Amino acid sequence: MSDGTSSVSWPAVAGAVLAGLALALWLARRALRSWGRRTVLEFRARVDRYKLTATKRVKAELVADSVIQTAITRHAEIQRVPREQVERLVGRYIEEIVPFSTCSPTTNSATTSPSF
Amino acid sequence: MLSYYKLGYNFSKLLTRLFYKVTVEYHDHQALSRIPKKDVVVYLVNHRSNMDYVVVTYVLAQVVSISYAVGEWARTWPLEYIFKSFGSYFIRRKFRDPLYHVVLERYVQLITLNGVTQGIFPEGGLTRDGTLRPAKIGLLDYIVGTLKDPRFEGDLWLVPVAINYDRVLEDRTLTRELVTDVPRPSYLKQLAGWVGLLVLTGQKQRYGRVAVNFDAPISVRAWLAGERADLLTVPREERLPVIQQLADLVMTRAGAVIPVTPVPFVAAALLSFHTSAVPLDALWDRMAELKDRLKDTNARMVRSELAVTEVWERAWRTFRARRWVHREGPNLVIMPGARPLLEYYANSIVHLLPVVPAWELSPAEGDDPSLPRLGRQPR
Repeated sequence: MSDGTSSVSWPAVAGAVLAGLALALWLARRALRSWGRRTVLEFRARVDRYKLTATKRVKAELVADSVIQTAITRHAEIQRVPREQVERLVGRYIEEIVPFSTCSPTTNSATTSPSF
Repeated sequence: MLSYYKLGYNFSKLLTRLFYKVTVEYHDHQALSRIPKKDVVVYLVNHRSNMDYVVVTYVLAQVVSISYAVGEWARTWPLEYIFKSFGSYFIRRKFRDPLYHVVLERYVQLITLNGVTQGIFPEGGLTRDGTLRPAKIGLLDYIVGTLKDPRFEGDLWLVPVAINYDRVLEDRTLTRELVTDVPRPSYLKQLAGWVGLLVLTGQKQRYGRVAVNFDAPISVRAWLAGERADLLTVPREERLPVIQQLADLVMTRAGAVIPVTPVPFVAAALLSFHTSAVPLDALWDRMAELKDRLKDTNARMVRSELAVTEVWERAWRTFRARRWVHREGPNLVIMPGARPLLEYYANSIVHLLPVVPAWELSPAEGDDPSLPRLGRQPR
């Protein structure tokens, strides 16, 4: 007979569900990645190594680019606006242009030669 | 990235095969194979349909994964996410902020420096009247500018790619802009319409063939050495006309290998008569004459081994299904409303056809001014 108090610990259930979801997501990503790698090898297709670089790193490289830095300074002077404002604008442009990448910066997937 | 590669391949394969049969031809396969690994390849594709992205992705999937430069039109959900996931980058073609162009230029040069294979559409938009549009040079100038970087030791190779369809999915909406001023529906609405139609009718035969031809690659370093060795050091105003020559060369080469599929071919033959009623026998004779001329000019006719009657049968499936042409006894009757569309398809190969003063391509420019006609797209 129930004594009216619940024996289920809801935080524990929620934690288990979240852990299960995270595990499922991790497994799905792993399976997809290996599926993709098998396809690349099967086709002997060339996936350029740089496309495996993390987006964050590409964006950082652009932000640090000397030509862009010079353009920011010049733009701020011409428009008479604070440099920070121009930097934010450039950040938005970079965000818009640079595509996604799902790999870590250390990803080391092999590229194979093109096979026309 | 690799998982997206697989998803992208399957998506492009599914969509391309859903609509079309595919033909691929390499003009100089060996030359493409000989490109050193450290060099960067840029595919320059003529732009007839938004399916170009999907078709070229599918065709090249077994060779290379391409980063496309995509126009603003695709910056809507979910297209933006899909394109970016596959490594494509967005460009605002008519945006005039110099700061934006500095960022874009440096990004393009960064990926070129790092060996990323790219695909660009030099025409800068879809052709409205079916002819090749003049090449725009902004992106090409950015890419060529990478050669200035001392860290870049390899070469750039431009590969002209020509694509042609028996049916361009957006043909009605594109030609409508030149026939009337009615704005076209959104891309998502059009896509839903095509897929819905296919699912409901199962008539995938009606979309015919898409053909992609790859011309021999052009080495930019070799071209510069022959044209203007100091190009990379001269001011922009002096540099751009030379880059325009390079872009024009690529477009001319793409135009020369544009695939002649049945529908554009028969459309050109039909329109070469001055009348709306064309005897079938006379059409076959004209097709045979055109085929010989195309062969003389080394044009790329798809399935050139087929007899003209068989080519006609393939085109007829489309004409009949779309009610462009009716058959009345021994004659074919071109429906007035179909003329702009027939012109649109014929225009895709018009530059390959011989100039024969005895007949004009478009009868709509001839005797009867009441017939609808296709205007010319703004240059």
